[in-house]
Amino acid sequence: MDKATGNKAVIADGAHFKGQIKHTRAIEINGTVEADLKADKVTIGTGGKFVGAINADLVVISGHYDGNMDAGSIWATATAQIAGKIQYKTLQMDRGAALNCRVVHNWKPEKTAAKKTVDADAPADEADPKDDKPANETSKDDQATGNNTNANTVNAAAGDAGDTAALAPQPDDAKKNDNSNFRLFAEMTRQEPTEKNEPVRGRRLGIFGFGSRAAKLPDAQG
Amino acid sequence: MDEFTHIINGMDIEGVLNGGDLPVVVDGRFTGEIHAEKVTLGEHGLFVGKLFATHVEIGGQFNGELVCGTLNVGATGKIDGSVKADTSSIDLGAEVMGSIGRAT
Repeated sequence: MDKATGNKAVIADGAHFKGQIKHTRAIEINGTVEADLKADKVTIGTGGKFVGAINADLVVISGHYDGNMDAGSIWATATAQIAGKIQYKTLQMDRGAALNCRVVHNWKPEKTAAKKTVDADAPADEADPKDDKPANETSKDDQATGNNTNANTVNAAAGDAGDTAALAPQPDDAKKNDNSNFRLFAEMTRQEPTEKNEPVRGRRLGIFGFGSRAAKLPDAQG
Repeated sequence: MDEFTHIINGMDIEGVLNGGDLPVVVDGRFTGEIHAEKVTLGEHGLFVGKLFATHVEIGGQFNGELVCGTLNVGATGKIDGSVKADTSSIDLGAEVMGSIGRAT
């Protein structure tokens, strides 16, 4: 008994644990565990299954893992099956190991912070090019991405109509040129928030067919 | 027994453990519930909660509810709570407080 009772905690084969594990140095899991775990060394045996977060220096996986793992070294043996996300500094993967997860390399602690900011910027980067593209491409993009296509169109209409109304303050002109439908539309949509579409003002009017006049506005405004 | 579930000394664990067929040894702190075939609470172990097992050995501090077939309280064992056991033995030096009854 003593040889096994060294300094390694064990969840034996057939055992099932659900809860919290704290203050562990080394732990070996041959059963099923649902927990969040912080340890020096974690071993998930061939029959072991772990669901939850692991923060450890060394993780050896021969069984199933699902969760968010942040480890110094990860060794996925031939029978490993991993889902979720793993962050590592060094990774060893034996032939046959199944990784079905997001794998992120931690270069250094500082770099992880940088990565996070990059990730945070990513959505903005996706959004920006849309606005920077020429009018035709923009409209295509909006429809092609299917990303709130309807909402975008409506907003674009709202913004553009509002802008047009705002940019053409001469009531005489409006009265002369407008058919009543357009004026009604403009008035109905003028109240809509336009901040999202302000950078592209006028450009998207191409969709609606009366862009010839408005398309020149951005240039004119300089 | 070549393998058993072992909560080592210094470890703090909280939750529900179903030990399966293999024994469970608690030398650390366990809060919650254990269902197992055989449970040993080591000399430095602390258990708080409910324990259901066929065979139980208590060498440490046990607080809560204990339901088992065979109970053996060692000389260093301390029990505070309710005990239901079919057969039990209490060594000299053990401290048992609470109610003792039969499980069945």
